[in-house]
Amino acid sequence: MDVATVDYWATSGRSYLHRASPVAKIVAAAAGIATVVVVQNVLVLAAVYLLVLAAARRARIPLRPFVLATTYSAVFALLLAVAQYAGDWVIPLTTVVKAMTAAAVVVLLIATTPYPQLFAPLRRLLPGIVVDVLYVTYRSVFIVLGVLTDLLTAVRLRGGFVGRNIGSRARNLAAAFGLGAIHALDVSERTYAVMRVRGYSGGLSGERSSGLRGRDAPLLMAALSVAAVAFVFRFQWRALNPYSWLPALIALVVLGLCLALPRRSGEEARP
Amino acid sequence: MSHLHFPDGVLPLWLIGLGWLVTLVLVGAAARALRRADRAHLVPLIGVVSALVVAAMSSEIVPIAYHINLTVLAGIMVGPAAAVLVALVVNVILALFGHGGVTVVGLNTVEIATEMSLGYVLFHGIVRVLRGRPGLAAGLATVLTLFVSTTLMIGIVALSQVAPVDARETGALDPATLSFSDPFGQGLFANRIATPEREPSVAPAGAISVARFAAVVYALGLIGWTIEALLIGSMVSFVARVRPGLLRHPLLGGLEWT
Repeated sequence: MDVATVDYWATSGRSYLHRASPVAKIVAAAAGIATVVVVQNVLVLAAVYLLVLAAARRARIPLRPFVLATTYSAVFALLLAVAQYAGDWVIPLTTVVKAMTAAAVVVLLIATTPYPQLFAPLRRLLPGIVVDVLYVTYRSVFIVLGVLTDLLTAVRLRGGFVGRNIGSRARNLAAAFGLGAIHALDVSERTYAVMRVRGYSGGLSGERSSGLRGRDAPLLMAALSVAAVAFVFRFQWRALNPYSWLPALIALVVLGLCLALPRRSGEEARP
Repeated sequence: MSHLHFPDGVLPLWLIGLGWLVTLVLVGAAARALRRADRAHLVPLIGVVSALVVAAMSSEIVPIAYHINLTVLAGIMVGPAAAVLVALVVNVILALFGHGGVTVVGLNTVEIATEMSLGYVLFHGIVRVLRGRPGLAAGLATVLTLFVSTTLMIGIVALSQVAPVDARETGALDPATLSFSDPFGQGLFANRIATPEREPSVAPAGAISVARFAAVVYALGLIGWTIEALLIGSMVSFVARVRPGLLRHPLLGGLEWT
């Protein structure tokens, strides 16, 4: 999982999804998650996954790293899938596809929404201290990753990982991580000083949460329509089961069209 | 292996709800315990420790489906009360990146907060016995903590009744008969979202599934626990030499052990 790449997609994109209001995107993502929770038909789940890929494509997000980001969750879902295997592959496959679809929904949300915009609406739901910590944590992830990367590079350049003595290499690695932890806590002390100087008294300002706008209607309609169709397939399974392939086929065609449509130059989000 | 990587829609609703309920209680208790702490000091400290854990959990060792957690180290550094907030924030951010389901954030918070708090208690208990050897104490605390948290995770799987037979009845396509079970068969809400669905004619087979799940996670976990214990033991040993004060942070009421 490349946090920096996902953040770059969120901040550099200019697509319709990037410009949609965060509240609308959160509602659409919630509809997607609800769909994943309710639906048990692997073909319908696959259809939702393909539609999310199509949306990602339209948002100018490179598909290969996006798909890789969604398969990250599949690796862990495999543990459960192995436990569920009882002679046929459909149930384990459903679990894996559920994991990938839910991951695709939330990754698309965060890949099209800069984190200050994403966390701003949460202030209405969560205690202020939790939202403040979310802001600081998200920002600190990049600092910590940078510190650790620099330290590991320094250890490597000084020959810390050379030789066949695994114990020595492991000690150097642990020392680098330990030093990274100390550096990270130094960062927290500096942040504390900055917050004091700036008069922090509870509540980082962040961005104000904007409400729904007229241009969000297509996004909301699309997300709620997909959820509604999936729900109907779930609850009218007896009648619709023979047609389970239809949503998957339609989603495949939509994705194919999105892949075939020419992209305007200069709008491609690059990692 | 310390927390649930379950996708959304696998666990029953009552369990997910229970996880959120316990999380709310824990967050409330933590906020109360920390109310006298300087918030300007608390927010960056919890944020940076959370970032450390997020960074560690983002690096997966793919062949064994394991990632370093650093939860015990985080627990040692911030103490049990702040650990609850760290656990919540870490899980929210990980869920945003598709690492575990969104709906299971509550359960994962309970799991990781337990792990951090237990790690804190065990470390401070063991280090009093092994005076002068904080690295060894941290390693032992890590193994014990991860064993307990993994067992807790298996317990949650058993509670959830995730089993092949149960899952079959949730409506997934059966390739042999091309049939689904009736989601309305036992009433409008008798689907897995509200209650675990089971047709009377089919015997539950949860034990088989849980046994296999336990075999997999214990087998892979043993490798992961060893790696994690070595890493955390060495890290704590290093930090204890360089900056021992960080292991008993006065802000959060850490215990004296040297």
